[in-house]
Amino acid sequence: MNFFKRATTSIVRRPGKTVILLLLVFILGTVIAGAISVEGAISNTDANLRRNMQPIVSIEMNHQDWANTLEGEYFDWITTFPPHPPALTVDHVRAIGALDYVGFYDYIIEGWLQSFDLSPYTADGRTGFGGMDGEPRSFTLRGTSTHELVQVEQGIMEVVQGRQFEESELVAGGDRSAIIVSEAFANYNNLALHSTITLYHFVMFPDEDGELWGWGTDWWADDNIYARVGMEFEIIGFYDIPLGPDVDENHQDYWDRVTHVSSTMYVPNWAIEDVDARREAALGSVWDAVDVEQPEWMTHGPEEAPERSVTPLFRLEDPTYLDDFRAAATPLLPDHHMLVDLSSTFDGISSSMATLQTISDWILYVSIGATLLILSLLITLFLRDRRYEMGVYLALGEKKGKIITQILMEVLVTSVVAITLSVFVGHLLSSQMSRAMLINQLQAEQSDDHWNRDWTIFDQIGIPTNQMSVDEMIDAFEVSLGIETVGLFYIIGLGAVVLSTLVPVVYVVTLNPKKVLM
Amino acid sequence: MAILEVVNVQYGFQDGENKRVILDNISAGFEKGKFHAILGDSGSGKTTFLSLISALDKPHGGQILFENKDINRDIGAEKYRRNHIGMVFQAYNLIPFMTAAENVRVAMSITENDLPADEASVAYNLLDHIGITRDKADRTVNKLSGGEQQRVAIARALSTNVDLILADEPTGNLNEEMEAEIVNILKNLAHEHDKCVVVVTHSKDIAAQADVIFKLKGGQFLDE
Ligand SMILES: Nc1ncnc2c1ncn2[C@@H]1O[C@H](COP(=O)(O)OP(=O)(O)OP(=O)(O)O)[C@@H](O)[C@H]1O
Ligand SMILES: [Mg+2]
Repeated sequence: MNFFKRATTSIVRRPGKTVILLLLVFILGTVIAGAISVEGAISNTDANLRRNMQPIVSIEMNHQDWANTLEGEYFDWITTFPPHPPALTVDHVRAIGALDYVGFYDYIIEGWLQSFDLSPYTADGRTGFGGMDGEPRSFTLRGTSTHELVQVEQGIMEVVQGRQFEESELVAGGDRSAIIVSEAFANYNNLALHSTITLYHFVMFPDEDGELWGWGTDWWADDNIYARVGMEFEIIGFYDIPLGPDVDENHQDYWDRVTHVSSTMYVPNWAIEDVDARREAALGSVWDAVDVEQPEWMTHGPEEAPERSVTPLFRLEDPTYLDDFRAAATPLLPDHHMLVDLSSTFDGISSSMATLQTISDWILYVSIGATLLILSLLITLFLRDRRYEMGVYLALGEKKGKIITQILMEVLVTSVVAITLSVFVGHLLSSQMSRAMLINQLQAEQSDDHWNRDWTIFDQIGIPTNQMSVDEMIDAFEVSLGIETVGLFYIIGLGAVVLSTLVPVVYVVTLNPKKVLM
Repeated sequence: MAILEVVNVQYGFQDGENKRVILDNISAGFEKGKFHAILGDSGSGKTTFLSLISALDKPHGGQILFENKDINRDIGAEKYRRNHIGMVFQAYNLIPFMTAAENVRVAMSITENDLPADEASVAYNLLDHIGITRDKADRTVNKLSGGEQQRVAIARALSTNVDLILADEPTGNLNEEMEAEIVNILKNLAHEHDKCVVVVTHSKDIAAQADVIFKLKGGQFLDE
């Protein structure tokens, strides 16, 4: 009849008390299990999303941060000008690209060139890139410094004919560059592989007010053009953007593709730098060729010209490297710049989950508190009822440690049963409830829908950041009974039970058998 | 040779401002093979005395020696109770949800004294010897009569193979017939089994059967 046998005898022979304890622990345990299950689901889902997230990182200027440093300073833009923010240069990009976490990196210089002969592709005549007759059309040139375009590497884009750049084409030189255009644009303009096209910066004569910009046929008349700063390009490949089978005109991706293929072209970075530099020179010399006074606001400005900023793209070896990469790359950034990643694609679900997390945090804390309070009270009351029994053990010379162990075991054996039941019930309830709560939350936040989403640096360089639909997010929400969740619950549940026996233990330790028995 | 010696023991209660003395420098010796009675009026301090020699409380002065060792300082109260004494209370103090045999076995599992390995059969034999048949031994004790419960309590006190049996009004809740039987058992333990039995009572009839009587009055043992 050792203390272990005493504990089991007590559990079995006093079924009423056992059932009360069991029910209480079960109810409290269900609430705790539910809350822990939701917390587990949130971290599951977060991990799910991160695993599926493309591990692409870029660098953006932190405009807010920059504005803060200029706060309080006054610039009239005539005699005083704000300084140039520090630029993100190719050297920065190379240093960060050399980190072990990075599998692939590129930097992108964007340029805008024009042509009177070529037209952007218009889908069924519905996209308005036409412009007026006699005006040039504009094209977006996206530079690269690697022989595999990141968009191709990411599977967003395919080269359907021809090839990508060769190393020799990526090296600056000559007055001719390779270019990759969309198949749709090529067909629209009757261009074949290896055709050449020429794109320009048109530098115009200023008007009588010194204005360099204008519109209409007159403005664009031949003799109004001071210089045609051009570059000849040989088409080495056609790209296309494949769409899923169920993507139709009602889908965001459809219109993203149309915008992309209509006028976006890919060239080596050096071509853009070259043509842009020649344009700067032409803009400098145009004033010598005319009588018009250069407006004062144009001639003044910050002393040194800004270094050219580039848009980098880093693809990490693995999505899970993100945090480590951030830590390693942040010290290498120029001032007032920050790393951005694609986690904004699931901003919607993140904020909904944060709400859910707050609620479940509170439920967890309150229910643990309630468990401690109620259980210690209940066990103390039960022990008061058993003070003669405790007195007998003490009078028989039993060690207090063993009596405490006996009580602990009685409570624990019952609690393990109750907690095991509550794992399943709590999980079941919480998976229903948390899913319902999440759907509600997400729908409430859909008012700020994806047409109004923030335009990110990734959109600018053609990496889609479409936010997930509510259905996709709900699919990612995974309430699973992982070994970790269950383990955590047992630890928290049994921990609370053990803590709850502290007060009763004090009662036993201070019990005076003489008073009870004699 | 006294197995238990009480030397100049003092005990009192704080009663408001002044201390009320219950035991005033008393001494006594208790021997194996003898049935001792401690006789006194209600409130004379009999239970107090028993709680001291059973180490459920500590004297405010003096010493209590078991085999010449101080029970509190040398042996330790808990260990003394566990290994050297068996106690019988007026209110039996059995564990209500356990059977008679289990109650006996609780004590057997607590003591560190050498006992036969087969705990259960020792308990049954002991109970049987003291008048609790096998079917009653397997009943939870709240289904036994007062006399039967007190027998179980005596069996529990004996089960740990101790020499010293201390009983506080063991027949206080029993009718005369039962009282006689219990007193006989206790007397037998002293005379047949060489135990040292100390019984606290206010009954002159019980005291009359004792080998040694200590009369407690005014905090002193009166010579008898
Ligand atoms: N906790 C206490 N505080 C103050 N006085 C107490 C306390 N316990 C007992 N007493 C007093 O001590 C005295 C001795 O009490 P004790 O219980 O030893 O008497 P007793 O001889 O056993 O009496 P009874 O025959 O009624 O059981 C009594 O006067 C009692 O009122
Ligand atoms: Mg008394």
